[in-house]
Amino acid sequence: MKNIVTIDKENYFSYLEIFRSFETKTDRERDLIDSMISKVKKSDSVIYLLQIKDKNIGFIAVSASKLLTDLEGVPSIEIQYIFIDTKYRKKEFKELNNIKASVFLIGLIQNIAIELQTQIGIRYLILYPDKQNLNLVDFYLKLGFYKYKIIIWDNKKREIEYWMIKKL
Amino acid sequence: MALAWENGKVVDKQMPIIPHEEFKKLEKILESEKYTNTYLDKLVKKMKFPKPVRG
Repeated sequence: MKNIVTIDKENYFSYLEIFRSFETKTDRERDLIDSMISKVKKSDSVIYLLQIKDKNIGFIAVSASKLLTDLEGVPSIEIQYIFIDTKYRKKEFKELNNIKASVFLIGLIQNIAIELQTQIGIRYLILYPDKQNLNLVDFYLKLGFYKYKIIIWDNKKREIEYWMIKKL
Repeated sequence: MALAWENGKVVDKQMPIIPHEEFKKLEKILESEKYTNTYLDKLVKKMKFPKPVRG
């Protein structure tokens, strides 16, 4: 039995214990979870928590955003953070038609975005791969995201950023 | 803004502004079959997602 719980600024405090109980691999992940909760508290983001058989598997956090050009802002949904408890990473769940929790959560957001598209107008899903990890970039490419490479000049230092974009 | 980890701390990442001409080319790529009939698109069409509930 799977369940998706919406967590926003009205009810986040009831879930703090659950967020604290997640097993993380690094302190970095713990800090990212805490920052995510702060965003929810300010209404900047909403979290969708995945539960399977009453176990808290992980969550995805999203917000309304815009893909900016120098002439327009294109309405989009930004996936801000995806977290899966270390116990359930790489596991395929029969309750999710034998896919991983992370893939299911991204699919869920695409599904929600398509529904919202008819009400408020949204064109893209966008995300920034954590640590610009190339394995992660590859994972999003396999799902169907486009890898957009941006060159940034910072104090004469050339930096490359990858952003992932998916048309709805 | 997306959350990211840089230089030992959490930062908000803002996607840089894309020059409009470049965006027009990007738009065409993203509208192609390769990016509109993907694994994720097929999954979303096939799968029944539960309605999120407020706890």
